Amino acid sequence: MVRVLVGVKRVIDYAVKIRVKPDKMGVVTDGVKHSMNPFDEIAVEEAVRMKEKKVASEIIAVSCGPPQSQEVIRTALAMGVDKGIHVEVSGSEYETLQPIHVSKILAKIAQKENVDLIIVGKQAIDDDSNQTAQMTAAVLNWPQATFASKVEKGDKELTVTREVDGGLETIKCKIPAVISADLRLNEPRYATLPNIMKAKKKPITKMTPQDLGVDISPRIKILSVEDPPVRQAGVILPDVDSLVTKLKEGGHIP
Amino acid sequence: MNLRNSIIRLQSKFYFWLIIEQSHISLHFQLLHLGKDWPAGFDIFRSRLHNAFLKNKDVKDPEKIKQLIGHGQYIVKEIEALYMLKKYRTLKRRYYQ
Repeated sequence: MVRVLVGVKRVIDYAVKIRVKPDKMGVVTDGVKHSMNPFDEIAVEEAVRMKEKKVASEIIAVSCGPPQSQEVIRTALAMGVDKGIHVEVSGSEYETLQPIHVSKILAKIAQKENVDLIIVGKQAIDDDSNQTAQMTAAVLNWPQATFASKVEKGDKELTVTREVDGGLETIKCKIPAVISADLRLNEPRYATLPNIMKAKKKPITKMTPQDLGVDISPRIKILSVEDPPVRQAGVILPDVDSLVTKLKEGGHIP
Repeated sequence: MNLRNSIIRLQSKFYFWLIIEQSHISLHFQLLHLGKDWPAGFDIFRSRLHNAFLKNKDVKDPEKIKQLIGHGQYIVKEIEALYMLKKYRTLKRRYYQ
């Protein structure tokens, strides 16, 4: 039986149209619907399935962020996680919080809680960093199995199928280890209303990065945030001749 | 003895209706909760849901009510599956194509 730690991030909901703030220093987050990072949902689901298969004994969900991050911890608890830890980072500190800081926090909690396995989503859909799993493994000096699409636990080791360019790779690694979940790992369950109600009784511990001895002073400075380029409008041409002339003009055909 | 039997019968009838009432209310809340994520907006979902429940307000037959609640639970599962599929497809389009 292993103890599992899952990382969950609160991000702007995948269905929301992102708008850049007028001062170009970030995106509009006020009054915008937030939810759990979809890849983290997959990570939570994998941990819960491990518990259902009696592979995992206890699951702990961690989220770093403003007080509202507790909502995603609640969602994780409703999906079947046993307890939550909320590491409070808010305001300007949260804007410059980077995977390096989060990985140090996760590593500290993993040591404190004696966990054997860390499962996180491969990346968050807001900053798309794809660094937290790798850095956490490095900080702890644990093996890493990233982009997992299948995880099987043996006696003392894990067999993980990884999504790599143009195919799959199967690796074996010892426990303790860090896993990052890819899209095809599983289909996460929906946090139903009765389960959300029941999850209100589960405990959430609150702490700060200072309690864990992690320095979260900024490593980066945001210079500018821009919208992606807009696709140019096309034109409809009346006949083949004008199409050929147009293509010649553009230098696409000789 | 006779009185006691009829009290028990009344009680069990009362509990039966209580259970039906509870599952009816919890179904309504479950569906409302799901409606918060409805793509076309919560208000449209809520009014349609209200109409769907209102349509069957005169149903008194317990068997029929059970059947309708069963249908509602089927709808809950369908909506959950719809949301999951929508999310999966969006992510696949954004990150894998």
